[in-house]
Amino acid sequence: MDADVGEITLLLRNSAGDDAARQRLAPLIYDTLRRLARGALAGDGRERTLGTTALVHEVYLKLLGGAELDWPDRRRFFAYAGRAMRSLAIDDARRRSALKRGGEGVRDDDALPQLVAPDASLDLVALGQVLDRLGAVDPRLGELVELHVFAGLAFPEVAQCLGVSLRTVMRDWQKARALCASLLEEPAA
Amino acid sequence: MSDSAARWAELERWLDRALDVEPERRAEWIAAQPLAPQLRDALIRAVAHAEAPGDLDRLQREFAAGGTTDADWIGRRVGAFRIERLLGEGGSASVYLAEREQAGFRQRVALKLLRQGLFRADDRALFERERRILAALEHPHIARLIDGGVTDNGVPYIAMEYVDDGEPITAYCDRLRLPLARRIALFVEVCEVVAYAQRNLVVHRDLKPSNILVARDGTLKLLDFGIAKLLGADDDSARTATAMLRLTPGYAAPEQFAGGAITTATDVHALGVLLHELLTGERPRFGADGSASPSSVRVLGAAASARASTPAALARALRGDLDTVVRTSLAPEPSRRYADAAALGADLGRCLRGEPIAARPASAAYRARKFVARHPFGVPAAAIAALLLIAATAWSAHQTALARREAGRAERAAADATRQAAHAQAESRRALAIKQFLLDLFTGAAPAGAEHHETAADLLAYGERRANEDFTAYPEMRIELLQTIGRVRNARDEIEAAKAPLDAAVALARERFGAGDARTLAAESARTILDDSAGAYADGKRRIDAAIDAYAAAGGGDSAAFAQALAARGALAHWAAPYDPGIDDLRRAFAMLQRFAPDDARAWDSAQVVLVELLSRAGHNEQAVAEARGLLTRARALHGEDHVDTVHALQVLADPLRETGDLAGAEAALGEALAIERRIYAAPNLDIAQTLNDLGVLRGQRMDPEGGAALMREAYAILHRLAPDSPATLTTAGNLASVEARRGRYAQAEPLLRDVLAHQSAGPANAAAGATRRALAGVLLRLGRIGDAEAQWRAALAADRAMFGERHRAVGADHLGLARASLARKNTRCAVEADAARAIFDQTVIAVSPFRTEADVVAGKCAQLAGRTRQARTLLDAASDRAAHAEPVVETVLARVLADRADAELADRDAAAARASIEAADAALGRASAGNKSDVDYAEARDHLAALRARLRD
Repeated sequence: MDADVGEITLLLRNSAGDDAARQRLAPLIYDTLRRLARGALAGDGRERTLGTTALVHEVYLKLLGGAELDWPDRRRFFAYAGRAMRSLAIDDARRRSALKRGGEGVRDDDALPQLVAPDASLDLVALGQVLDRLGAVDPRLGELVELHVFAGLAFPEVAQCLGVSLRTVMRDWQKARALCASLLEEPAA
Repeated sequence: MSDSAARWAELERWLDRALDVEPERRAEWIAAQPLAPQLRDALIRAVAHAEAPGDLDRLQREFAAGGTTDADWIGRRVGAFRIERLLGEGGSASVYLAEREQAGFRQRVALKLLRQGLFRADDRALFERERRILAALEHPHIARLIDGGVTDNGVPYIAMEYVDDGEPITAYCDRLRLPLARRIALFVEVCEVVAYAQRNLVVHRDLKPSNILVARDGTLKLLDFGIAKLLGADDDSARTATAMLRLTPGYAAPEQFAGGAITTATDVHALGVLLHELLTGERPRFGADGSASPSSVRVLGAAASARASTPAALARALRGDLDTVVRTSLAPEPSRRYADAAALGADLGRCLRGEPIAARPASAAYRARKFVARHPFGVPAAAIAALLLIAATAWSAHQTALARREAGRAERAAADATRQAAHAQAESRRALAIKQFLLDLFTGAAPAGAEHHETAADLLAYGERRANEDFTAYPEMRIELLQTIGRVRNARDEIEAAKAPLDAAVALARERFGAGDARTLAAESARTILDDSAGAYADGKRRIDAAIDAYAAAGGGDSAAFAQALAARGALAHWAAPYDPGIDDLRRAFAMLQRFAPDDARAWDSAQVVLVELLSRAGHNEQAVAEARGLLTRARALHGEDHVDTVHALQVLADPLRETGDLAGAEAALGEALAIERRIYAAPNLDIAQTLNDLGVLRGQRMDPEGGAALMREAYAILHRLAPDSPATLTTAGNLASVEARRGRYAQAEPLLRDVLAHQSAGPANAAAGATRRALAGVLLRLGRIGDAEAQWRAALAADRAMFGERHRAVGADHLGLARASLARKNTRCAVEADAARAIFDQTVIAVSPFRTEADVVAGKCAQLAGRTRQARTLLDAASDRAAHAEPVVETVLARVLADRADAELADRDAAAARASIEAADAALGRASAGNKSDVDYAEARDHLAALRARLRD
């Protein structure tokens, strides 16, 4: 499973047009993230809550050390990391909510410690569904949400990643707000 | 494309256009578009959602920053304890039921955790003090300290004795329908416990039923010394302020609201409220004369039945001595109450035994004297300011210079409140009115007895409504209240919301006191400061000029109010050159404040901070440094080293030092500021980010880009987390881009700088945009786009001239940039721009400043270009001299300048001198630090030297 920095850099570079590279890279990032998240919150009596920014940063360090990536590669890395983080966080919330309802049995080793402690008033499960639909309706806004919320990139960093202006990113964020709100209002199709 | 995608695509197009329209005209614009009703509704909703932070933003905040909620603690271990469930929440801490499961025994404790995210130094200090106090108190009826410490991730906790199924004393008495005598006996026990604490010099300050529990076995337990005070201990006023924010309005004594002296009599007041409640079933009401009103001991049928009595019998029992004891405990002036809990308990014991009591009803003469006691204006409103301010600063996120300055003014009011607390106590009637006002402010429309925490914004809105509805009969107080609310709103950056109360205060003051009155002038000054915050420079100037004229026409002379008006007018001058009139105003204001407000160091500070800024802008940097040193000396004398005022003074001092080119001095000042901040703040905040950024810029200017970038990145991480879209965040982003540029990564730096510039230009004129333009121009020049670079420097020059006048370092830097551009075009007229820059730097920066070095280099190269080789050599000699004497010497810069000098010497056919210069340059490169080797200077000097050696060989 372990891959060295060179291989990962290469995978990132190739993943643009190469399915095999993509198929190797995505699980690599997801599993690293998951391992780190579990490690961070292992039941050793030490409480430590990591935000996504810190977590994704740790994944970067773990996989790529101090290597500086070119922007297109960096964008791909953060896109994968954001997507992985999102499925990790939302899946986790779904599992928790399923557990609460006494739903389908969950294998013990699937149970992740809570990655982050979101605002209690946020319904992560519902939001997760809305974000799925948001990405389907407007993939560009979906990517923005993944980079900004789940990969923890600041707006200027998102702008660099996507190669657009900060103004565009901020306008897109406004649009994402509007779309998210309207999807929350309308019943799921 | 799915239906929703198609619908969204259409909506998005309209949303884009709508967001391009100015917000105030947007509704009108939407109404004018040919839209189907359904789409129009959707658009209106979309615009509203787009503009306001919503679920996505909360998700981002929670996820990106991480955070721990109460629920998250359940099941975790803290020290030797495992947390079971939440028992209660307070302002800054949560209390959990926890269990120790060590060595085969189980012990249940109440575990109090300081809430994360509220790691303010004050909260920590109070928490620490609670632990010390609990450790010192050992009494069977005080919940014992069991353990305390800090969790692995830094959250302080206290484990205390858990009162099994404890219930508040009032609920306990009612549930068992205890008769009066039993209630009084139990209350006497409470007095004895409190007296024990008081004998140990502890004032509880927050006595109320929920802190006085009765366990299942009937044992009394006193809890929560969270805001207790150690008598005689030197209490930091800020900490007391935090305590004030957390007091319980229904039980707190007037002096707690007014910021007055806290004594054992403070607890007596709370005990009086509790006694009243135990006897009658409700908390006392206070009459206009300040004491508990005669009707306050009202007996309800329900109360009688809960006391196994009849209404008539209860009324009889409550008359006479018992009534006197309650009234004495509740006296508004601490000196009229029982001195301490022991005295109260003793008198009640006498009541129970039918002996004569010590307390005597207040005489009619005494009441009359109190009733006519009046005070023209002032103190209690300052107390409100204190209270509102505390609320405001606790929530305030922004720390712009203006907000900070205004917060300083409001804090001054808070200091006033404490200082003048002695007077406040004499003013019982007013203090009571204020107390009632604040009480209502806190409890608002909430059900009686509910304790809840409102946001500062709610408090302010409610306060404003009350000021306008209930204080119409007290216009003077109303004016002051409105002014305070407006100032606090201004300090919170709620510019629009601040207008109404301040306008109303001005109108009322004019009507009540006349245009020329000092109090009207004060109201006008507050309104002018708002104009300043809003950027309405011209409006503010007109307003304050007229107000000062009216004051003078009415014969008003030097006074504190006049000084404040001058200070407000002087502050407006920072918007545009010339600065000299503003400087005059502030100097006058400062001198006048020293005479007419001798104790008000805060007012001096505000005036002097602005004075430093204006002097620096006007290029009088040495005077600015002198004023800033005065500020710093005063801060140290008043507060010592570890104080936020000392930090601010150091930050203020660093600016003019940097302007004069004394980068080492500026760095020392900021380094000290940062060290203090790291000591006094428990967690990174915007203040620290600001210092980190400033220090990073300075390191960068001192040619330590690596070190500078590291500091800026730390600053950016904090800013991005706490205030992602603020101007400070943009500035730091721009600074980081400049560092990229210094390392030669021009292609990366350009788009970043352009984005930052686009955002800075969208706002009001500011100095940061000029600096960004200069950085961008430098990058463009390096990329070979001379025309683009020149355009940016020209734009920067125009903006900086408008902002700073002719004689300012920034203007000099713009001229220098234009000279560089001309030089790149091989245009000999570059000498004109270079000389303009040198003339400005001559007067504004110190001799070894990098600015002067670069200006001499560019002028020297221009001279060489024009064939004036002698002059070129003189200039480059001077430049290398400056570079060699910089503090510290930046070897890569020295090497580059020496290489340029060698070039000029070669042109002058002096091969020997050129060889010596090249050797010196090589030596300098050899000494360059590892960090500097990534500089563009390093590569440039190295390449230049290689070329020179080749020419020498030829």
